[in-house]
Order: sequence, then C-alpha cells, then structure tokens
Amino acid sequence: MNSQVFKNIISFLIVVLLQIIIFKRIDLTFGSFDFIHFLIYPIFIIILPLKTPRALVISLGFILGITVDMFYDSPGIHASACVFIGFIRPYVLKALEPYEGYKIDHSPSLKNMGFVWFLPYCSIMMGIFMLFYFSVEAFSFVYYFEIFMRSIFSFFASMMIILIYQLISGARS
Amino acid sequence: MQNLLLFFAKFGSVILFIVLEIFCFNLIVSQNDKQKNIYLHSANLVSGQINNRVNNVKNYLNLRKENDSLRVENARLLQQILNIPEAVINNESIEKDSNLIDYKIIPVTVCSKTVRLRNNHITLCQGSKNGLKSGMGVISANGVVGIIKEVSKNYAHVLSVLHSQCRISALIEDKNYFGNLIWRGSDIRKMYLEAIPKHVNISVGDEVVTSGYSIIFPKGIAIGKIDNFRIPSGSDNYEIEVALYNDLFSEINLYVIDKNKVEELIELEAQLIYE
Repeated sequence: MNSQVFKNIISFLIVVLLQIIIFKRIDLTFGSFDFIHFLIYPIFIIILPLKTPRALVISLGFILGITVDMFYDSPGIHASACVFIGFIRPYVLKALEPYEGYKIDHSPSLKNMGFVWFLPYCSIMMGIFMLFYFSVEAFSFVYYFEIFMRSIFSFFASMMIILIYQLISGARS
Repeated sequence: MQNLLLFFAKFGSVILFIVLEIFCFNLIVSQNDKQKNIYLHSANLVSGQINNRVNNVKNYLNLRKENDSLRVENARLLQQILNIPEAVINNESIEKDSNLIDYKIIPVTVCSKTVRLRNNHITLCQGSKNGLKSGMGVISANGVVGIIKEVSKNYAHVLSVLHSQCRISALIEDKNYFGNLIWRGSDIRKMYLEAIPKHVNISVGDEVVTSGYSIIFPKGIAIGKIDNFRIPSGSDNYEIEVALYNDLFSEINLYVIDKNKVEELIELEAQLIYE
C-alpha cells in the first residue's frame, strides 16, 4: 500500500517536471500554424490505481492542475480540465470494462492492461481533456476552429509522447 | 442525519467535482482581480525560482546571439548620442534639473514567458527592488512588448501585447492618424490597427509607431509596418494588418520605461473623469 502511494508521488513529480521543464518549452510553429502543444501531465490521472476513491481522484486532479497552472500563469485553466477528467474517469473505465472485470489492485496502465485496451482508454481521456482544456483557454466558442485544430494536433502529439513515456516506465519497473 | 450521511456517501464526489469546478472557473474569470494578485505573488516565489534556474542555462546557450544584438543596440544608442544637437549638450541646466528627464530606462531580463496561448504573459526577473511599478511600459530593441501588471519584490508580471485585453495607442507615421493596436490570436508576428478612418491615404510599408497619447509609452517607438489593409464592407474604418518588427519568441533583453511625474498626470486625469 505504502509503496504504491510513494510510487504515485514520484510519478506526480516526474510528470509535472517533464511538463514544465521540457514540454512547456517545445514550440513547433510553422508560420501561422501553431496548433501543437504538448500536454502530457494528465497521464498521472489516467493511470491512478483503480481502487483510488473517486473523491481522491478528483482532488488529485485539482492539485495536479493547479501545480501546472502556477507555471503557465493561468490560474484555474489546467485545474478545471484535470478535475473534469478526474470526474469522468470512472464512467470511461466502466464503459471499457473487460469481460472478466478489473483486477482491483491494478492501475490501468499500458503494462498492466495491454496495448489493445490501453490505446482507446487513453485516447478517450486525452481527447476529452484536450477539448475541455482548449475550450476553457479560449473561454468562448467564437474560436471554435482554433479550439478544434489545437485539440486535434495537440492530441496526436501528446499521445505519442505519452505512449513512449508508458513504454519506458513499463520497462523500468 | 443518517439520510444526510448516505446522501454524502452517494453524491460526495459529484459535489466535490462541482465545487472544485466552480472554484476553478472563479479563478479564471477573476484573473485580473485581487485573488489573481495573491495567487501570482505566492506562485511567483516558487515558479520564478525554478524558471530562473532553467533560464540561467538557456541564457548561457544563447550568449553569442544575444551578444550580437546587444552590440547592435549599443551602436544605435551611440549614434543617437552623437546626433544630439550641440546646443542641448551645452545647456547645462538640462543635466542639473532632473525634472526635465522625461523617461528613465531600466534594463530587465525575461524569467519566463508564454507566446502561444490566447492570452500571453511574461514574467521579469526584476521587481520593485529594481524600481519597477505596475503600469510601466516594456519595450525591446525592436518594438513594444507589453505593460507591467503586477510587481512583487523580485519579480514582475507583464501583460504581453499578445493578450486579448491589450490595447496600444498607435500612430501611422507621417499621417498623424492614430488608432488602437490589438492582437487577434494565431500569428505572433501580426497585430491589427483599428479606427483609422478610410479617407486617409495609406499604403503598404508605412511605418506604425506608438502615439504617445497614453502615459505608458513615449511617442515614436517603432512597432512595425503595414503589411496589408482593407475596408470591411459597411465600415468607415480601415482594417490594417501590421507586421511587427520584434519577435516575442526570442527577445530576452527588455527595457522598462519609467515616466517621470506619472502620478501627477494620473491624478489630473482622474479629476477630469470625476467632474
């Protein structure tokens, strides 16, 4: 139990540091085409252990989001998106529940659940996160084209990094 | 009582979710209010430190390029000094009477910045310790950068020109018609000049400079040049696309403009509003 808490604290720190030190600074801009943002930190919420109480998932989402917000100078924007995916996580898990059910001690990571299950799960969570985040960031649906383009391109860019991150962390432990 | 407990056991997480979301949105909406100040001041202490460290390394890697641009800047200043009419230099009263110095320039460096969001901000590594106050203008060697919004002891928070709420009073040089310069998102090298009436003869390549009608920027700081313009149907004003000279991606060395006797001016204008 304690080792799992400890592991998750470490993973929180790694994810936040990766986001603010490396991925905040990566800019892929081609003229006025600037739709690619790397947002990898929601992976922390996505792979929290299955038995984590629901209220704790939402609270952790808030803490994670507000931490990232501090470095993006945007109080509340990341936090609201994180709280939202923390809230919908049980519904997505329920919809994707395998035939034989979950093992209660597992976390829904690439290593534990396999690629075929993890890819759609992670895609749904990240897709919802991106749409929510960029909508809140623009704060008005007048910019629907930008919201849509940013969500799509950032989604693919971030998913790529997340899968690599999952492969590396799966191989390590 | 038991019913209440059952209710919380069942809907506790939903309530928590709603409460947190409301809290987040409150934060977002009140971004320019008191909460934001408190948040930024305490946040800057931590995030400023880390950004500072990372930037130390980054600054080192950019030394050569920065050096070149500083040399260019120095050359320009030297040229200006040489061009001051001799009468001004000989007039000793100007040097003694510091009241006549209108603008003081404070060099500052960037601690962290965003350029690709809808609303962008810059954090400076200097604060009230170095004489910065909120409301001062920030420029780079190539043009206008932003306006200082909040100041803590060691850091200052700047509203970038790439912010949806930023308006800069700008003038088309030689024509003396002025309007508001705003940013509409997407391209960080382009801003739009509004409220220039359509009877003015403008052409592509005309230079756009600050107007000096606000108390923030002095007159005549080059901003960019006209890239494209059109008259929207049914409008009396041009919609002018201005290509900026400066590239907010790469600017590290900035200058803050401290206007002398600005409190006096604000006081006077406040009186006018109330009367």
